[in-house]
Amino acid sequence: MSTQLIESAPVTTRPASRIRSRAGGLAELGPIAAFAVLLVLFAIIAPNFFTVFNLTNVVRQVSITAIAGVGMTLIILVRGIDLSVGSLAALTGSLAALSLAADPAGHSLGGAVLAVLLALAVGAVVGALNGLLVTVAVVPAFIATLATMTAVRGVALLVTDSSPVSIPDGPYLRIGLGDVFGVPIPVIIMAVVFGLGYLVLHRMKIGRRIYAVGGNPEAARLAGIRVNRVLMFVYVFGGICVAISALILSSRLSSGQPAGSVGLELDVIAAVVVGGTSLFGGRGRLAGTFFGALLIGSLVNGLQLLNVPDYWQRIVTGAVIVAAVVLDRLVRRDRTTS
Amino acid sequence: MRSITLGAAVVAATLLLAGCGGSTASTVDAQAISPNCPENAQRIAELEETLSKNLYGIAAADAGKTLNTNPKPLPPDAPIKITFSIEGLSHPFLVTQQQLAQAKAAELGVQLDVVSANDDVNKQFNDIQNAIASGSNAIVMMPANTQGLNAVLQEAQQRDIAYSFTQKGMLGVKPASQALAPYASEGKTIGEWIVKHYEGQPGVKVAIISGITGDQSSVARTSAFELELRKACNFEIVAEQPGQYRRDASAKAAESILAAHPDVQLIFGANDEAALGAISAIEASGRSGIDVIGLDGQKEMFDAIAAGKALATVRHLPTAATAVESTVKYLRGEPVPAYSVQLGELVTAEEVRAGTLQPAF
Repeated sequence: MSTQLIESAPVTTRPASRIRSRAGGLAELGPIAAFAVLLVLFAIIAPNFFTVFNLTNVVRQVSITAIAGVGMTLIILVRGIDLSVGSLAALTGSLAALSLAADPAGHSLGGAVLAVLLALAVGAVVGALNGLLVTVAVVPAFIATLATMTAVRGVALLVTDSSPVSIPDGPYLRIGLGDVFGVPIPVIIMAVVFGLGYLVLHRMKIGRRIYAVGGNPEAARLAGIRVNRVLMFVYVFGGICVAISALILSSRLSSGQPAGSVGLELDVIAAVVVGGTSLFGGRGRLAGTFFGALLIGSLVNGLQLLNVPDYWQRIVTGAVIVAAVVLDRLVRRDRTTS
Repeated sequence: MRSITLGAAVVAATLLLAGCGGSTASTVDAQAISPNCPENAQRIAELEETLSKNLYGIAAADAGKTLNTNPKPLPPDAPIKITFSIEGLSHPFLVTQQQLAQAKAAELGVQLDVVSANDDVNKQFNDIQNAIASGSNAIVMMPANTQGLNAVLQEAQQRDIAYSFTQKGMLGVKPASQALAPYASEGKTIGEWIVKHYEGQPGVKVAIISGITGDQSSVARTSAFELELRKACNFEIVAEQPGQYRRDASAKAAESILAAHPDVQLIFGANDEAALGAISAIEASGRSGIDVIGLDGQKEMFDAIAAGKALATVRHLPTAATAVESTVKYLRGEPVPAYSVQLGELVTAEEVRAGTLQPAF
């Protein structure tokens, strides 16, 4: 949908937008179609799946991977990767919890705002560190973020003495547990983050540069794009997205979990890839990431409602990830050959 | 850090006031300070204080005393569906727990769905939400973490879904029942046996390899063990080092203990892996004559005891069947114990040779 909107705006018809439009149209239907099929299937066979209560839970549960997925989509679009997501979520959540735990009787709104700002700032700093390693130190993203993954986890365990930090009662807990007119706050936050991501990718110059750098970094550089700035931007943006996920996570768990969220980055990468974003960069959309996260989240939920044993849940989830990616590939090949 | 400890203490104190205070306080009075060694009095008071705030210490002291009854029981012949939310399935002991829970459910004619949190507390949060949505009457859970699940358990409570704990528990919540691992009782049992074993020997030098730093199970095991030794007066605790419940880390801890205290006579591992780590460190150092004890009763520890490398262990029993049974009774309206603790048998060379006991896992 959004592609047509952009193409109708004459200002944006530049080479970069042509790269984007190729990824649009029918191909975009892949993750949405897969999700629709799953939704209908579970609505028929899984008892209690298609209830407001359950579906609200699913969206609430999915918000954590989806929000981190916004940042990851941008990073993968520039041919990068971020393996530090789980560690950074643990660190930012733990730091927020530590600042809130200063007063065990409960925290004020001011205290909550402070904790949020602290988490976002640390997210941005670690994101910047990833960016610097990739741009200035020219370390491949996989290795750079593997290093920060390890080190950041160490910091999280260090500052908390490796035990979970309880969050006392107060407004912070509403971030993950509250709702506004029946809409869960995590879902509202998710909508805002996706909205921001959309603005960045499709309404700002940096968005076109991200697609250009991902499509062909050398060509982008020759076209006068400062590639390192674009890379720095996506890693910092990614770090902030992770911190936002961590706010929701720590709030719903009423605690900072320094040893938690191990492997969260893989769930996030899975959502992005199932959503049709290419690991080779330059091609992909945020809507895909959203439906990718929703697909995996509702799959786990539906299999549990069907009482499928854990080992089989993992096997089926793996198979669905492969199937979604293959389906996406086939749809694209059809389009390019026809 | 101080504020967190304070918070935990407040939670523990509230729980004590809520119902278990009486029994714990009387235990402290009954175990009057030994007159033989006044120098141990302060440490004994500290250990008793620690155990009175430790969930497993509380469970051991209250086992079978407090009873809970469901205010809204199900009709006698209503079908029952229970979700068993297990922390993970990546260890044989956890798989045993799952199988025992399923067997007990089949025996009682109730449906039991098993979900694994894969050691992730956020996944367990989701699992319990999904269990609520699936229409389960009750949730039996082995929490992946002592913190993080309060909000979802409140959600269950609001929807009149009973929940109970097995193996591990949480402070600050009100479950229907808790069939917890007997960590404190195990430490006490092996401590009592050691006191008898070394009776009449003065100044026996003991080192402890604890589990995960700050972990409640490790605190319960080592505190209950040390308490028995302190009361007996003829022991000296020369060192305590964490070994993370893992063999390699425990072996390293044992190496540094052996270097710092060459005259150590007994090493207590908070689990058999720690004891086995200590044994390999002792063998590597070429020393002999150091006694080793552990807890859990795993296969390799049985072998070590048979080979004379270790003195004793206590079999760690799975708890899930008890938890399922209590939960079903609770749903039907029968009174169930707030805490039940099933202590396994002490295993020495005698039992291993006789072949009367099998390894716990």
